[in-house]
Amino acid sequence: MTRSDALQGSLPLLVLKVLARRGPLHGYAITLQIERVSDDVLRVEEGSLYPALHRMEELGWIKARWVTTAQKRRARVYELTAAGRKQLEAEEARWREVTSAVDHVLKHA
Amino acid sequence: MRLARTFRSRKLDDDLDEELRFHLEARTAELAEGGLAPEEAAREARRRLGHALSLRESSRDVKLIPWLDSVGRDVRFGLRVLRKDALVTWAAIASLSLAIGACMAAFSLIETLILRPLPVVEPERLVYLTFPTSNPEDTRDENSNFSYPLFERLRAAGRPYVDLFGMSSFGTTRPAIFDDSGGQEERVRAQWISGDSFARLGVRPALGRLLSAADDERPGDHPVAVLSHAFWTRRFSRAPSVLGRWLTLEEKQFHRRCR
Repeated sequence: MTRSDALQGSLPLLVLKVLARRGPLHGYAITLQIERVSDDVLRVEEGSLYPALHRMEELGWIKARWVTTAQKRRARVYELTAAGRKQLEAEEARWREVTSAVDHVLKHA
Repeated sequence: MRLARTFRSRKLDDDLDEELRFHLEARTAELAEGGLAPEEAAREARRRLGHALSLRESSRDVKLIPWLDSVGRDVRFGLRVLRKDALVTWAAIASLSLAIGACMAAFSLIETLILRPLPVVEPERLVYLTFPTSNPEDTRDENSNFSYPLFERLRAAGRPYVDLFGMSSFGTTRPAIFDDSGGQEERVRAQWISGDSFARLGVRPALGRLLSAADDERPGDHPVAVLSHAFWTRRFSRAPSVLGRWLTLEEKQFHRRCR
């Protein structure tokens, strides 16, 4: 059920982008967003999201805090930092480079 | 931050668990809404999330210092094991304490007697003079007993390069009568020294004056005594009145000066 192999290295990129577009979200919402926008093609291996989120938090790309939801539950909400924004730009640029190179090879190999 | 979290790892575990639980419940709710029976939904949600414990471990390794945390766990485990078999533990502690205590005592003794330099001025320039014995009855091969005339000649010969001073050996305690004890005899340890000994050693008096070379000039005249600090404290409670008083040591009278 998991097409996560395509996703592995680019999970941070997707998370950063989602947070940049949609503002602060908790882990589950990020999962849903990625699934929804990619039409379920990229179903996040849900497990790997959380260690990735925590790693990015330690690196300073995102910051987290506890909030209480409308249903009186405690959720950990993540938000992009300035460093994260810079990282997102760099990663996006790199992604486009790589994919266009692969495209190019596929076309003219 | 990571260091702080390593010491408060229980809170970290709780937080991580709570985050994963939130996700699980949200997913279960969503699946249930989609038509699955509650137990089905829960199972599917759990399956999708993956193995919660290993997820928690991965996040944990990111958030604290793994090796320190691991050392902490090992230490706590070790303590639990020790507590379980208390008898063996206490036996080990007792024998270790005895051994360590004995070593420390031995070292302190050696350090004080041998390793620490003498509390005098320039201890490395101090030389102890002896001469080889020719007397077959002597148990040692060196003799450090010099007669006073010999000492004086050696001292004169050594000047100005070498300063010579002499001390008698301690020996046993001798009877002494202090003039404030009403004729009662006490036992003290006494040493005879040449006048400039204190000056050579760089020792200074706490009260009064020490012997000097001038005291040597006329033998038998104006005999003076110096009390050690420990003796002064013990016997006279450091009273300053002890200066100028008399003591009788082995029938010879001495005038007291303190140290």
